[in-house]
Amino acid sequence: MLQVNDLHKKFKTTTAVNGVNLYLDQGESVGLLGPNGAGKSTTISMISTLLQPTSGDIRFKGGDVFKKPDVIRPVLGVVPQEIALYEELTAYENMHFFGKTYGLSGEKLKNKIDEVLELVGLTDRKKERVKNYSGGMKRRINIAVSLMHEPELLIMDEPTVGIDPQSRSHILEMVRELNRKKGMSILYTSHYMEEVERLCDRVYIMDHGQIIASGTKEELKSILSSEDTILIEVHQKSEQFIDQLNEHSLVQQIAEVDTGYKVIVSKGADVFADIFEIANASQVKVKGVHVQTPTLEDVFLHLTGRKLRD
Amino acid sequence: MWNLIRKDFLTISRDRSEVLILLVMPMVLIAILGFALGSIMFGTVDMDPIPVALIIENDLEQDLDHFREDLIAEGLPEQAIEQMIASAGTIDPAASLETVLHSPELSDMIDLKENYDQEQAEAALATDEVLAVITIPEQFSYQTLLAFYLAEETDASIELFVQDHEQIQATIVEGILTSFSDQYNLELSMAFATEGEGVETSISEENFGVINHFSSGKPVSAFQYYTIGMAVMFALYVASTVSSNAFKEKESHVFARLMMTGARPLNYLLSKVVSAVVLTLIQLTILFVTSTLFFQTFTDTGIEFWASLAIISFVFSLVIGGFAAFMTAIAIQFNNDAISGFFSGGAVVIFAFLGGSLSPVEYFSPLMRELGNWTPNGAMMTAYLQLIQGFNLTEFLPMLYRVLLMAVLFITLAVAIFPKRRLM
Repeated sequence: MLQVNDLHKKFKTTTAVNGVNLYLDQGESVGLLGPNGAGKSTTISMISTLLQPTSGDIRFKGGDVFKKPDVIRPVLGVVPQEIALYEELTAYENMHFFGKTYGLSGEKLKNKIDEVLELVGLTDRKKERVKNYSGGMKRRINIAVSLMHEPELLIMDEPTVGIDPQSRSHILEMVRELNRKKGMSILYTSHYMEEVERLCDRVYIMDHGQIIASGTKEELKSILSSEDTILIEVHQKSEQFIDQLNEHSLVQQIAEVDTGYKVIVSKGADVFADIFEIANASQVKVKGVHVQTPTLEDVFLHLTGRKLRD
Repeated sequence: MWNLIRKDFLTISRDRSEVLILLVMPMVLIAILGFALGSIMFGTVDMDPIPVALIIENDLEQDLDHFREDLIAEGLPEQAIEQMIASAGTIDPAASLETVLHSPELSDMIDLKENYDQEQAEAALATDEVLAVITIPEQFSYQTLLAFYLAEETDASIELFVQDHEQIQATIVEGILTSFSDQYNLELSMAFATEGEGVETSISEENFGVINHFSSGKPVSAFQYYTIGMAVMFALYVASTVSSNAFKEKESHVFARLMMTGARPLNYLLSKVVSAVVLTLIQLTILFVTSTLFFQTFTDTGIEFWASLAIISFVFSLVIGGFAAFMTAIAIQFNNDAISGFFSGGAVVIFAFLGGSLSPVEYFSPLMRELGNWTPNGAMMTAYLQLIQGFNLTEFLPMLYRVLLMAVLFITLAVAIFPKRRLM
């Protein structure tokens, strides 16, 4: 359905996208995972035909989207990272306006507005101006507007940034429903690995403008088949503790997490005794040590030496 | 297209600060300027009659005798001389001025005191007993007759002394004398041109304290002037409001979202033209109607007047639409809204000043007046004022064509500048 080939985008002094290749099949839900500044939004802007690539091409159902933007625009829904709405207008007026720009009118338009408002759970608040909405409600209307014309392909750029858990959960559930029940193809970008893990069949991991890994979740996690992820929970953190762990021959990566440290070690390595010994030497009190099932976050850590939200 | 325009109207009408600038501020300024400056600069002056001393040192009989001697010396036939003397007796400038100063129209403005001699009058002026002294000097009639009948260069002049610290009253008295002098000279010249028909000095209160921009036409009241002045000034803000809103759409990514719906960039630009045109027409209609309801600005006018007003307003709104599109194109192309800020923050005031919104252009030099007529608001103000003065539509068509040309130019530039492919 969507094919991106060797996509590059250079700005004056930086290369935002550097040879990205990806594809998306009909009905698939694909994640684009990467930290802020990885080039996800630039890639999406090019797929959405808003930004010309420096080189490379993007094909939708075989057609070049830059030579003929109309092959993709009528069936493309894009949820931008920003709240791209008229805040002085009500939710209903925003949906009415964008619905009309998509060519809907009359009863069809009214019915569609009601249907989408129901889907995003804002039917009762439809007559309030968007500027009075909470962050989560704005995000939901931001998505609703993109669904007015029943797109075949929905691109969502960090749709849950900065919102409350309840709205986040609602949005994730809605995306899953759109994909599973309505068969909508979804390209979902995020730096929240748990969202991508929950929603997507396949994942592209992006960093510094490049795709550094791709595949199904299981395929990506198998990258860590020869490693274990160990979570060390501590009372207080210590630079000396990290330095000494780094010097350990079996430790491959270390990242700070809220409760302590996440350490990737060679699979089956018996490092528990060493961890406690280093902790003692660094005067760090250990609350607990757990071996974890690898996550996409761990894969990213393994590949880049950084956390997704660094 | 209508969908885009409706959206612009809704977003702007719900922004209180915009409504304040576009509608409330001009109405407040019309009221303030109309009441405050109108009585001083335009309308009748509500003040006590000005005490003025009139000293006539001129003796008509003596002057006529003197004049007769000159005519005899010129060798004119006796019959002609008697005819000229008889005619000269009827055009005595001193008597005409006295008649004017005693006229009922000026009695509310001038309290004429005639029982002073020169010395007493100067003393009265020093003690503010009188605020002006008008002296018709000796041989004034004689000098005047020489000038008119024998085309001799003379120094015939009426002397005026005024109290400096009473500027307004002094200006009024000076204005009356100047007006008298102009009127007297004109009518006397016309009388000579029509071979000695009787001269009638006509001076009335309406000749003072009104604006006369043009050589003829009805006077324009203060409220009419400032309603037009503020309307054309604040209509300029519509252009910056529309372009500023467009830039907000770009910044908030709504513009990009719109483009992804398949909307054409040039349709979007055209919608800005139409939005600005519609908003300007609504704004002007509200201002004109409200001003008429509150201040009786355009009462006693017929359907023809309102139709012409609508035509001028439509042409004006076109240039505002063009300007809105031009600023929109620059803001979107260069991703910078500085032009709207510069325009609303400074250029509007300069345009308003040049166009005559802030003070009547009759106080400007001819160059400044011409410059003002090349601003859209100035050109339209001239057209509006000519309409109020009773001119026909055809007489101010050149101004309308000029503004239409500006509108076309702005729209053409906007189309050339507006990005057609890069939409972020």
